[in-house]
Amino acid sequence: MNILILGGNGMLGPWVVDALGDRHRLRITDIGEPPATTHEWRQIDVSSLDAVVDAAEGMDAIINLSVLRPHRRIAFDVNTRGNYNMMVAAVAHGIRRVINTGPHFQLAGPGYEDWDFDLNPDMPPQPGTRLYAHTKALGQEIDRVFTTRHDIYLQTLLFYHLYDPGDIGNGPGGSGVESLGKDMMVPYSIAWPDAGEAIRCAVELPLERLPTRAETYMVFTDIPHAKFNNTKARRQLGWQPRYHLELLWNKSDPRPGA
Amino acid sequence: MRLLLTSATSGLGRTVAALLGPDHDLVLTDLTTHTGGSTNVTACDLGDDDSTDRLVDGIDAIVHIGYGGHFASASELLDVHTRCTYNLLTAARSAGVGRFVNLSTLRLLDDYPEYLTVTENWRSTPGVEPVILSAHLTEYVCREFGREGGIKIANLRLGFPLVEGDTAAAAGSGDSAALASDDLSAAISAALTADLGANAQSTDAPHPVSFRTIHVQSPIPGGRFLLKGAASILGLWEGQGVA
Repeated sequence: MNILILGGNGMLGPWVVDALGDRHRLRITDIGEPPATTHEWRQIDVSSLDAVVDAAEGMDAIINLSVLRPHRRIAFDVNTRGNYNMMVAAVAHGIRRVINTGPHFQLAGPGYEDWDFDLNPDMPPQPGTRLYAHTKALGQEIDRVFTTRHDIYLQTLLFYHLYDPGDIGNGPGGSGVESLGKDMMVPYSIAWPDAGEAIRCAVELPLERLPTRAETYMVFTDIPHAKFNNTKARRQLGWQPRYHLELLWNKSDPRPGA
Repeated sequence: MRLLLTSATSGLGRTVAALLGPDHDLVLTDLTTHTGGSTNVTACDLGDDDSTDRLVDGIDAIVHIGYGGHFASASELLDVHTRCTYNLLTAARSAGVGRFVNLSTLRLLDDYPEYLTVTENWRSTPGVEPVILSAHLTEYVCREFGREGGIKIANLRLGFPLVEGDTAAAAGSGDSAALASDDLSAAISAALTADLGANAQSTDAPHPVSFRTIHVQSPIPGGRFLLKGAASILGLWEGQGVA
């Protein structure tokens, strides 16, 4: 499959490229510097409609990993209008598979998270007005509207805390050290390799197995909190997490020999 | 009441200014690109800077053109209707502006056949055309601010076309969703002070209702959209229209 990756050299991009490996022909794009890769590379700004449409030519699928958090104008440019540009590009080139990504709170904002449990990906979005969540939710809504008018299948994978499993608990500065055994984590966490693998599962899922043209998944590892629900990601995508990040939610290291 | 009107040099903006001007202290504003030569319009690009804070300082309510403003490219429309609306609401909430009236459109429900009893409880069905998609996204931004509270937001979906004159003029237009300018004036004026919690499902809740969508077309016989919200929230046109 020929796949365009937007925002492909950010934090998640390299893990997605690793997961897709040599199984597909990738066109990696980013506004930043090029990665060390053997795949095709282009430097583009997703807020440029012409650049995104041009980059999508000849592609079978688009994966959107682009994100901008703190700057008000650029957040709207990337997180909101970038999605519009992506969907226009999909229409222009007859691309039927679009994979979008974002944080869980673009759907399950404070109105849910501060109150409820068993939060799932088929709830109506309530992102609230925090910039990051709000702009990503607007982008997601643009994507959804396009699927109501065009033969495009949208799969949205929601992440939040991403960890390198080798870092957790391994000394000062290792992510998660400060929260070890204190349950300070947001109960929505995943290891980077598992996140990349979830996107590979989405890419390779036959479109005819999608119940609707817009499906959303909460993607995090199996954890006992029951705050959020990852069942749909496991069942529909056929995805299994390999890392369970036990150190983040046990009082002591539960691993054999620890 | 000191009102701020956005997109004031657009066609709909000028119409609304003429309707509200006689009864309100009106502050007109528009983006810099649209204010050349206008001495009575405050230019503001609605950025996340002090200029937007100054614009809303001392304002009691904002009337926002959420549909039918200036023509622009898709990118510009999406930017204005999402980012600029977000910036304006952020500044307004911080400044303690009490009310925000978003002027949207009943075209968001245009997919539904005329024989259906479409009210505010029906989901909107926007298309991907930039003008209508932008109106939908403006509503989305408003809804999330309304959900959080701190500013009361009346989302008025206006009928089409806009016809100059009274209800009889709308009835004579031959358009079942027409809105007369006199009726538009009455609806905006009512929305500026109406109890948005009136007849809401959560009326008895301790927190105030901060967001309501209200359909606004003229109450003409055979009218396309039911006016339940206008009657129950704005106190307008009870028992009129449709039948």
